[in-house]
Amino acid sequence: MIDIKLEHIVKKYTSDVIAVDDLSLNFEPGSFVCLLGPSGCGKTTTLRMISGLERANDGVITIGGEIFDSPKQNIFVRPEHRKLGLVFQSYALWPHMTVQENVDFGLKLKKISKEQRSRIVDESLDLLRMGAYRKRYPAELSGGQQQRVALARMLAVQPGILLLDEPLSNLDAALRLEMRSELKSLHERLGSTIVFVTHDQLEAMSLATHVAVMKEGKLEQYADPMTIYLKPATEFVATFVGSPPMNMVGFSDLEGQRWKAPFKKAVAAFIRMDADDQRICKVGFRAEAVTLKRSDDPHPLKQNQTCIKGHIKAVLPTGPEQIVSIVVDDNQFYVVTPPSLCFENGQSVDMVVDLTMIHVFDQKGLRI
Amino acid sequence: MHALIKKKGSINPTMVLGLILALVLTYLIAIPVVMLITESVRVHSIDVSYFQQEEGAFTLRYFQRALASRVSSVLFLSPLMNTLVIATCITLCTTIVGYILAWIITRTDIRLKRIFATLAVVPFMLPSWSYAAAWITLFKNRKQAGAPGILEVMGFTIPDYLAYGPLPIIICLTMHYFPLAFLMFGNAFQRIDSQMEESAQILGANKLQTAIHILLPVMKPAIMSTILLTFARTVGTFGTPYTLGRPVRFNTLSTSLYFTYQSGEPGVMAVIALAMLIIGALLVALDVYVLREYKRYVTMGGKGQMSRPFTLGPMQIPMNLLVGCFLFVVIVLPLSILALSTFMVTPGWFVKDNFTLQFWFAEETRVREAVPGLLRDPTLLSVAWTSIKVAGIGALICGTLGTLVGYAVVRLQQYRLSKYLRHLSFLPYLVPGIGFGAAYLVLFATGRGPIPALYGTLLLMILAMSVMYLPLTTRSSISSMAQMGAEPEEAAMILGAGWFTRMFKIVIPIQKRSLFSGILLAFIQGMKELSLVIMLAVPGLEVLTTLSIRYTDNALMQMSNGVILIIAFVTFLLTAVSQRLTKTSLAQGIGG
Repeated sequence: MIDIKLEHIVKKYTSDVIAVDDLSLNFEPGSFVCLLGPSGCGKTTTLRMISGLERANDGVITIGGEIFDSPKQNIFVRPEHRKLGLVFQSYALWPHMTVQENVDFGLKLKKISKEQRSRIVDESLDLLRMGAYRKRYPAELSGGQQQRVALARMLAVQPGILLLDEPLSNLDAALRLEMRSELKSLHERLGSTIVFVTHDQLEAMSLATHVAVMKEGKLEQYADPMTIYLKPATEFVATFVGSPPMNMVGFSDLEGQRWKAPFKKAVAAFIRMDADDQRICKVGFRAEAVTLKRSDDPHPLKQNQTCIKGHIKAVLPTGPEQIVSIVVDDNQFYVVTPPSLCFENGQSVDMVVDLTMIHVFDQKGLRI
Repeated sequence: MHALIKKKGSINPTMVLGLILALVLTYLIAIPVVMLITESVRVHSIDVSYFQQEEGAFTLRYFQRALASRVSSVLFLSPLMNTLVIATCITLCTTIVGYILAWIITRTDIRLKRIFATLAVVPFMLPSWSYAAAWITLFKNRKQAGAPGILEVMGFTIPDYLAYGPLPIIICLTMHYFPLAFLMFGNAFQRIDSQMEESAQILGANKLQTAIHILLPVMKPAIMSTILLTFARTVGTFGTPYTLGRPVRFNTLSTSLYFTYQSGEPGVMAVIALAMLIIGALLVALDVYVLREYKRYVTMGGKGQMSRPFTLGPMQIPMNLLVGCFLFVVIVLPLSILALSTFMVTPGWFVKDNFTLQFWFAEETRVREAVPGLLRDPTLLSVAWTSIKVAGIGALICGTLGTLVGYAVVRLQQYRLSKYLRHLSFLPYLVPGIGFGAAYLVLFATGRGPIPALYGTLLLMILAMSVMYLPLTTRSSISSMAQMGAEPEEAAMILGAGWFTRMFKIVIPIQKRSLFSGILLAFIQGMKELSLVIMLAVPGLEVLTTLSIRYTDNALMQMSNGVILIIAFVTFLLTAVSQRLTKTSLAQGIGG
């Protein structure tokens, strides 16, 4: 059980391309942390700095109480001495070695006796249910099998920390789900600290004990998944996490959008602020915060509710529910309803928004 | 619907095309090889009275002469040994030089990558014996006829082993062939997922362990095919061993083949050519074996390759200098020597009166023979025109044939015919050029059936050229056809387009660029080809490359060097044009 501490990490590729900008994070021992963000946000670079494949330009990286990278103190521990595991997106299996040889390689380097090695190889392959394929070459395996071997290869050396760089992104949907549950149960069995990089918010939500959302090299929010979902710290986190994406109403442009003023008023009253307050810049609400009513259906508003009138654009059934897209002037909203409700395209509807489930953001995109 | 369901008994045009191509390629590639076998065991007219046998009767005396007679050592055995030793040394040297250079340029953070990568390919665009010509211009000693080399004139005494024979041959051909290795390794390095090395590092492997256990094995297929290709090329090369070996009677199979041909021993020539083709066949077999062996894992990679360059740190400047110096030595130095020599009556004698423009511009040079300066010589113009015709038309045929073969190979994949076409069209790739020339000489020396004797005609040279470079165009065509997939054509089929419409309106327009660059590449190669055409050139039908060799024969070093420069100029020009037009280059991607 090892903890990882990042303090004020900076990574520049060239003088004007800053990949990671003053990042500080604490990974508790045994946690399953997810670095989440769009591509180019610096999450993979962060992972590579933890692994030692990349050196930080500034800041301190401490792993298990020992400083591994600190440019100021001129300390850098090479990746081969960090005793951690890293699984790449491409798996990067060695094509000239069989499955067994791939897993055995790290053990050989550790100068472990032959009997012990073959025992560990067997165990690791059995753990990932790849025992039957030990004689195969990587090219003879499917994507999911390759992925398991890549994991087994790193698990065999029993690293205290396991780093995973988008390991599921090359798998098809069904396999991805299977590997997710596999990873989760693996984490519970092994108890090692896992750092996982992904751009898939669903993956982050379902796997991690902690999620760090990053954008343009900076940390947006670091919290447990439910907090990220229910209390997004910034507008970016709010829109990036969740599917369908959070509905956002901006108040900078009120031209020709007469419905916005009463909506803002209701929101301001609910959060006990002045409706003219410039800090109320954007208001977001998730699809499930809305109840949809037919406009011709009388429905008195309850306390903490407000209403926006719009038209149905399309109904997208997903099976257990349906996503309804609604247009209000030029704005598009998504609402989730039970599949039993029937709507027609173009029909007028009332979106009844539950004000207890709204998120208000200021000009800087920070949560109020 | 009607387009998809074929009517019973209707003819599949692709199949017809495939069969025609198979027939043509069999005649142009397989038959010449078979002919060599019959020619080596058949009494030739020239030997009828000597052998006391009828012309065409079966005999093993040519084999005996080559393998077990008083002259077999001179004719065959020592040339064979020399060839194998030289080819081995050159292959080793080019592989090492190419590997190191490719690694530096693709895998480190060295500066000027793109320029280095472009320059590193230049030696291969020069005629293969340019280095030999530059070498002899510099190192030639007084024991040979004609003007002595620059160093002798400057007062040095050059020993024979430094001026001629195996050592200079190995050095010169290494300089010429290392770009092949560089290109193949550069592309391979580019394809390898650097995360494979990083995984090893994470597991505790240091740089050396990673290089030995991961990088080298992963590169093995590329290394093997580079070794095979370089070996085949060096076995078949003629100009360099001819220029540097002849003065000390150091023969390789290629020069021995040429001399037996010159001295009128067609039977023995067939035996030697056969030996070269057997070496080629062995290389092909090895190539097939190696490819099959590595197939289980060469298909890997292709995704997630984030290449992180190796940091040179304080080695940055020395490494830049080293690569710069190396490229200077292999490009600027030899070309300058060649160029300088053409402006001097006695190369190396640096006095004002010794400089001259006569080799280029005089109506009659005063040096040894009354020949006009190169740019005033009407023969040169007509020879250059022949060169362009041979290389140009050859490249056109080669490109067209290659595209058709590529189409047939990809579309007839489920048939055995596809495999046959592919293997056959790749055959010239590893077959020594001069051996192939000899085979053509034999096949077309007399008329056979409907095909007339073509010996001494432009057509024969063109044919030989288009077959020799077929692997180039076929390979690129197969890969781009496979990339295109069947869908564009199927879409046209759904809309009711017939086979010919699809071919001319869909397939060829889509393949235009790859076709064009294939043709240009073949053209460039054809302009500087010597090994193949030296067997087919006759007085009155010369190309630039053979003309340069004739000048060497007549000890007119300056004229010979001038012709080499003209060829180099034309190939550079063509390369520049093709890069501008197709926006691709040989070293593409290697420099990042």
